[in-house]
Amino acid sequence: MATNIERAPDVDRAAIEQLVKSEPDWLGDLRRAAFTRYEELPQPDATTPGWRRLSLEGIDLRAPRPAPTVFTTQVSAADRERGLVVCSLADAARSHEGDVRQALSIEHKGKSVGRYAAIAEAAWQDGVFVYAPAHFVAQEPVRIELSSGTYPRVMVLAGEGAQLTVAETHREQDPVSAGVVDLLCGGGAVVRYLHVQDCARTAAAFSHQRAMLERDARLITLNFGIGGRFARTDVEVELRGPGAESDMLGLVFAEDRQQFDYRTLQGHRSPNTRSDLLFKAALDDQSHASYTGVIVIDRGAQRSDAYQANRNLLLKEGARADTEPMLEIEADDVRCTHGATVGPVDEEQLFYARSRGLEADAAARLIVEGFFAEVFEKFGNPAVTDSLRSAVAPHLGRVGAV
Amino acid sequence: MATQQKTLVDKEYKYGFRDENVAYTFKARKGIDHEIVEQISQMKNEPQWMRDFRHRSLDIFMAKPMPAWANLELLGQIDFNDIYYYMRASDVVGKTWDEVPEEIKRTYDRLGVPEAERKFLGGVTAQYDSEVVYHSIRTDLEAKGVLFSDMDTGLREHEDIVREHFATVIPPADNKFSALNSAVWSGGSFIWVPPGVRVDVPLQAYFRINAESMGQFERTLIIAEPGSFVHYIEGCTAPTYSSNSLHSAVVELIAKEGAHIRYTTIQNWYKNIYNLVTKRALAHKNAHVEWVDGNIGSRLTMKYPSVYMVGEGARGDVLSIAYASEGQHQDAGSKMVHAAPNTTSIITSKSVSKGGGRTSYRGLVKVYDGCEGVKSNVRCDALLMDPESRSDTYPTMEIDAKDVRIEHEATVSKVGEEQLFYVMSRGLSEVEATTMIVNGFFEPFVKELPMEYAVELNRLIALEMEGSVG
Repeated sequence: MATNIERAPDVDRAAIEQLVKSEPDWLGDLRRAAFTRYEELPQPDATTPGWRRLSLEGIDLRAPRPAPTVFTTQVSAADRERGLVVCSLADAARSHEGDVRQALSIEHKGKSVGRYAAIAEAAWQDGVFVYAPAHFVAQEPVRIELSSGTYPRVMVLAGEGAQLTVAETHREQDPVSAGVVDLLCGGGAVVRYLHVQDCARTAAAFSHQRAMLERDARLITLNFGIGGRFARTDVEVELRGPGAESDMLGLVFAEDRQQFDYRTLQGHRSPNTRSDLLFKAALDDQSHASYTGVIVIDRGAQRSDAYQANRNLLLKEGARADTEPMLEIEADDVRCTHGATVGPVDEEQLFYARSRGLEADAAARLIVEGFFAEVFEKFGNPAVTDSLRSAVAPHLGRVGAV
Repeated sequence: MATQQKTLVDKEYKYGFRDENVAYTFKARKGIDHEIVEQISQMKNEPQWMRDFRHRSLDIFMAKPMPAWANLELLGQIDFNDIYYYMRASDVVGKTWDEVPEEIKRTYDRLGVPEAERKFLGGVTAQYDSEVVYHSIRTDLEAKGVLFSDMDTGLREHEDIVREHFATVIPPADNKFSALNSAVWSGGSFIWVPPGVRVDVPLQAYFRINAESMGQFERTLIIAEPGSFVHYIEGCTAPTYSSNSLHSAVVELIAKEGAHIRYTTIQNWYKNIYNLVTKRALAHKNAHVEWVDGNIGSRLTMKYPSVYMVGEGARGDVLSIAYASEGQHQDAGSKMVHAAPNTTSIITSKSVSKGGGRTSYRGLVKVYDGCEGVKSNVRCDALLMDPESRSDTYPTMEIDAKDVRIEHEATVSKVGEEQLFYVMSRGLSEVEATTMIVNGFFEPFVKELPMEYAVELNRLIALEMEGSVG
């Protein structure tokens, strides 16, 4: 980060107390507890597990004082009329107090909350609240665009049997942003969630996404990363009810010296649950992608079916990829498989495309497009993913056969 | 009590006996400090550099924290003060056949282990009579110029070779347990194969008529000069009993240009043993190192045989199986470090967990910057026999070069009902059918073993499977 940018002072307890003033007591207590956790967790550096391979010089990771979230939402009027609620989370803490309070108090069984998730929970302002009542079927996707804000906070509540797509795009220019997203899917709900990270190329962007699925709920998430200097994204899915299903998709296009660090959890806590994860990264220039994911199948979560795949495409000499797909299985009647690959554009594919008359560069681009297309198709909602294809297009212009 | 012993040791020490006959002045005691280390070195009449090395290693051991990963609960139960770090053969042999646990004796019966070997494996005798077999092999090796002895003898008789290579692959500071081994090592094998020599018969630690061969802190060093080949086998399928609970070996292999080393281990320690072993190979240009590694016994095993490919065209293979039943945790895996272009590695890991046992695969594939043309394939399969057992997979891949092909794949499942049904429809009982399927699962490993080991291993699996069904 350039040193001439005026940096906001570090966050402190006084800043949290400032936020608490105008809020219900229970929310203040949650913020204070989160701030204490934040203080207890050490500032990560190269010795922190999982951070060893990152080059963090020049990146200021200190958490700044909170700034208000600036966002726009796009919701179909018809959906609003039929009961869909989209408002600021601060307002919802009063208007939907019971739901919000319950959602914020859920104990997540998975990994411990990191330092940046803790500070986001303590210091968020405004936030976004999306609520689909039971059996509500949305006609249009809900689109949220964030252009500024240190600690963006998003909560999506899908009632029983509700069906909904939420597309969240981050274009923050702040040097550091840390967001937390809660996705709560009631019994039989079907939720699609798209998270696009297109922050400033100098920014450090943290996102901690937590999902809780009740019986027979289905959640499809797609994390698309193209921005930031350093991006750390945690996606944790808890399959709490029997029959719950989760598809977790990830796509990164990295160039220059960008670094992407993805951590995932597929938590099978009930029988007959299914999860399928596909994270892909195409790495250009000196970029670096790191994937660490774990499938946990609890004792008693019989007939779980879990899959995890991480694919890395190295486009240039100097690009780096780390992958650590893990399994922790404590039930025997399961099917659990994972795979990871790292390599350049496949020579046979290149040869094939060239034998059809394509120039080497065009052939390479086509192959990278195809590498991405698989993920877009799996998300199953072209209305929101088509714009992503065009977002990648200008970057692919630089991809050539090497 | 401890102080009393200490002074006793002190007194005897001052006389500085170096004579072979003076062995009786050593009084085994528990715990570790510089005095014990000094004594071990004195007893063995070692050169000064080795003595210094031991002391330096002890300092490292004491300064290093315990690993903060793997099975912390079991690791936390190791009491370093409650362990004998050095015992002479005569101390070890003090036991009687009656002290060997009943289940081990039964297993020997069922496996058909010869009488003489039983007492040796049970820790009752320090040696068994294989003089004839051993002698003929030794003559053959001597004719080819191959050096094969225990490590202590190796150091005495070939100090220059040992000094040049010792601890160059695994320095004491590598980890806490390699530091411990470096301080108190005793026994293990020393092998040097001259350039271009192929050793046709597998060398077996088993044949050596030496109490040290199965030591607690053995130290093995195998050097294959350019273009040579050697296959070394340690351990055996029959359970190995020891009343001492910590086994921590260091094994270093050096395969020089175009050399080929195959190292086969079958570990079946009694279920009270912590088996924390560091094994690593250096593969130079076009060299090939294979680890064939079977883990059946012990309470906790932590073992990750590694190949550091430092010369172009080098190749590393690891084929391992792990079997964990009640109370056991097999934390095994492999590290493949590609530090030269066009190097290749294959890891195949198979594990079975039963009766609440836990198996973990933990591995690393690392490709350094500029190492183009690297290929690596990792495949892990795990079978879970019941709902109480557990299986983990913790692979790591760190890739800093572009033109590489890195693949990892793992599956975890139970014995397929269709497979069981098929075999049972041919008239086998459920136990027989399960045994057959598990044997089939381990087949790629078993077929790499010499015949007598393969037969024993199959019998052992059948034995372990009894009572696992129904």
